[in-house]
Amino acid sequence: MALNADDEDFEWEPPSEAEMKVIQARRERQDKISKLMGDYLLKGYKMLGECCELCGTILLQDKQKKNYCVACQELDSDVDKDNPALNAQAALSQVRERQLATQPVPESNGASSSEPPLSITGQPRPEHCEGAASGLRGPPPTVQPTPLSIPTPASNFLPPSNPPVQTTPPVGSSGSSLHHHPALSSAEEAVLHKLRWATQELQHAASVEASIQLCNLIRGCAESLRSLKELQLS
Amino acid sequence: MQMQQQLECVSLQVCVSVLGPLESVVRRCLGPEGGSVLFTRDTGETLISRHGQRVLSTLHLEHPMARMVLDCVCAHAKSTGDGTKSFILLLSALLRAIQDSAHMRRKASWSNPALQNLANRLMALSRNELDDIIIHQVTPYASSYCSHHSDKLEHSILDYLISGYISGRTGAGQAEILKHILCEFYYKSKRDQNTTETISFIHSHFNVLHTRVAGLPVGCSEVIEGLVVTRDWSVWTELRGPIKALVLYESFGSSLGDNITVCFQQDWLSRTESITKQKLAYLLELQVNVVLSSVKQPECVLQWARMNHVALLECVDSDQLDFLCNINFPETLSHPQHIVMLKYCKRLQLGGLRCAQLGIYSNAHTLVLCAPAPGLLDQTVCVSRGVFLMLQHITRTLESNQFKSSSVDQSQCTVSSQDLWRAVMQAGGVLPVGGVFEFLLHHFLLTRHTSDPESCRLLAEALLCVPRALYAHNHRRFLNIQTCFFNDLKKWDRTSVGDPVKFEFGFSEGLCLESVSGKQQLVVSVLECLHRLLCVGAVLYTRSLLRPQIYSEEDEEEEEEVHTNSI
Repeated sequence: MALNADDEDFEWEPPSEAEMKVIQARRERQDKISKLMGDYLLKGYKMLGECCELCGTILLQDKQKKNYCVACQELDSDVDKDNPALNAQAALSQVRERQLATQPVPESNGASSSEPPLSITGQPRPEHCEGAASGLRGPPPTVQPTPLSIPTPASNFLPPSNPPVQTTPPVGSSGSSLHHHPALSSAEEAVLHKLRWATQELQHAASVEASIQLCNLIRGCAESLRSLKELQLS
Repeated sequence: MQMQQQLECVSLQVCVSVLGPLESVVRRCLGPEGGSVLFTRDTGETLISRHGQRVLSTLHLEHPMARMVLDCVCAHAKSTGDGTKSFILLLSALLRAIQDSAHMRRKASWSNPALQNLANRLMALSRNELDDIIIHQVTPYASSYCSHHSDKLEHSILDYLISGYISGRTGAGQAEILKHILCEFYYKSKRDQNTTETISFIHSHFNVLHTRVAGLPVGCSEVIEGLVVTRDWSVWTELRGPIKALVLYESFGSSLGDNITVCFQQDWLSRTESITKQKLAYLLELQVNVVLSSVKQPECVLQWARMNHVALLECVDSDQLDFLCNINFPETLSHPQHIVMLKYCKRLQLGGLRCAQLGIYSNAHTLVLCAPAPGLLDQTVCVSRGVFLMLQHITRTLESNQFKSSSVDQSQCTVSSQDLWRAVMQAGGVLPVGGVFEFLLHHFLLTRHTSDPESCRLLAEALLCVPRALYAHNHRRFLNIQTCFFNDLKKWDRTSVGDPVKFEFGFSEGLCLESVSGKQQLVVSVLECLHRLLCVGAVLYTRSLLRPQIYSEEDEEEEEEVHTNSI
């Protein structure tokens, strides 16, 4: 008696390693969410019949009738690691993608100016964007982390999707005499601008991760200003 | 296309996300090592419980699927009194297994038709193959296990059943006491009667046959002969010997007759007085010594009772009065009045409460349950009630099985007590607690030659979640038990029928038993609930409440969420 109407159901192959990891990660996340929700249910929260718009988790409502999504507000979101504004690795991978897409002319003054530095912090976050990080580790790390490839916003402080501002002098310029080069001053200006933006963002930063990233950005800005000053003086 | 696939697999994902929190709530209360949940209200009331149904009903659940699952759990609990937490665990494990198997098939998700097909296959499994496995494989194992331990089990199978039920549901200290009390209650109520009838009697009248006393330690619980009414006598005289008692459901002054025209209040008052006096005089003629009333009687009746040495008990629960009337075959004077015979009347002190004790001409005893806090008392009463429900389920299943199998001698319909429990043992109706049933079923499902290996595999893997949760605090112990058990099982498989089997698998903490039929019912109920969940086609949200249960189900091809503005 053929109870199986769907012939595709007969194939059963063991999953690959990567798929197992994905399944495992998904299951762990689901378990964490379930445990948190269970705790909240026992605290008197109500399980609603609606789902969160952002992540699809079932919403809870507390006694003050406020809706609460466990996944969005307590767990690291699945998609946050891909958001360049919050994660250096994501930003770096985005930069690399764009560079590869535009195919820049290789310059004469060394690899440091056109390649994005390994990271702002100097310590890549291991659990996120492994692929991007391994891609970036290919070229040798620079001795002095030349400044940012954090994409700058257009004038309006929003998470960017624009290509980053190259703070080092543009490729193809003469590169010999950098004294009082207009590029240097514009670079300095851009860095200061960025510094100001980062400070403002830091004041409004809500999560710890974002604050850490912004502090690192500010440090990077300061270092790049110092190296620009050295360049000007030398 | 991606969107379409996302919509299609929402149903399974939603089920998993709804069951997940319920499982995490219930898991912490499972088994003898589990804890209790403390609920508090703003008014300061507390409720301590580890009873699955009680915990789940107290949560605020508005999600329609959660409510549906809760309904299924309550319906299951009503029939067996057992396994509400295991229900949730098993259901959740099955849903996760189904979801994982989709990932492993290199498909993005289960499509709706495939899900429904799977649900139907699992239902078919529960209806056809499960019965077969239980009857031909699980029960022989159970009966040979019981015969192997028959020296221990012979006379105390009931004790082990009760302790198996209680140990997972109350704290260790209370479990011992409660077990003794319940066994005593059972044996005293039974005396020479039929086992099945006794159990059925106790279960159906449990509300009347138990009394709650808060504020005393659990050890003060006792079994008292006769019926205990939690009211003090309004007028009291010590009475002995066969006594006639009048059972009243309404006040004396109320029924005046049909044709009365009231002219003046004075006139009316004197009429009522004279009629009441007539009735009371009539009672004295009948030699009624006790009046049991479900309402408050007027002062003149109290005075009359004091003067004529008649004991009067007011505001008795009408259920108890009905019970008295039903077991006593009363002579009926007129509709709101009956006369019953009592053996004696006594006054009783239970904790801070003064009660009345009525001796009745039957074996009925009252179970007095004490606990320090109301929440704990509630739990104790729930557990006691559940014990008899569980016992009744066993006896009913045994009877229906005996009725079905033609090999049993039909003239032996009513079995005496020894024979009933022996019959239960021989029929393989009981197994040790601790996951034995799950291990057995897991093994037999996997080794079975069946037309639907996928469903069997899904169910077999999910079944292990229950013992895993039971031994969650000590995973190594779980693995040890599992290994030891499967070794035993292999040996048993290899021996032929009639050879003595050496069961090495045993429990160090003493034997506790659970019923196979209850476990089977659990698996069937879970698969039915799963079928209901997986066949939900659409969830329609309405702005206003249609009726207390908001959800509606329709079998449609696509899943959609629709917000409507009117009913």
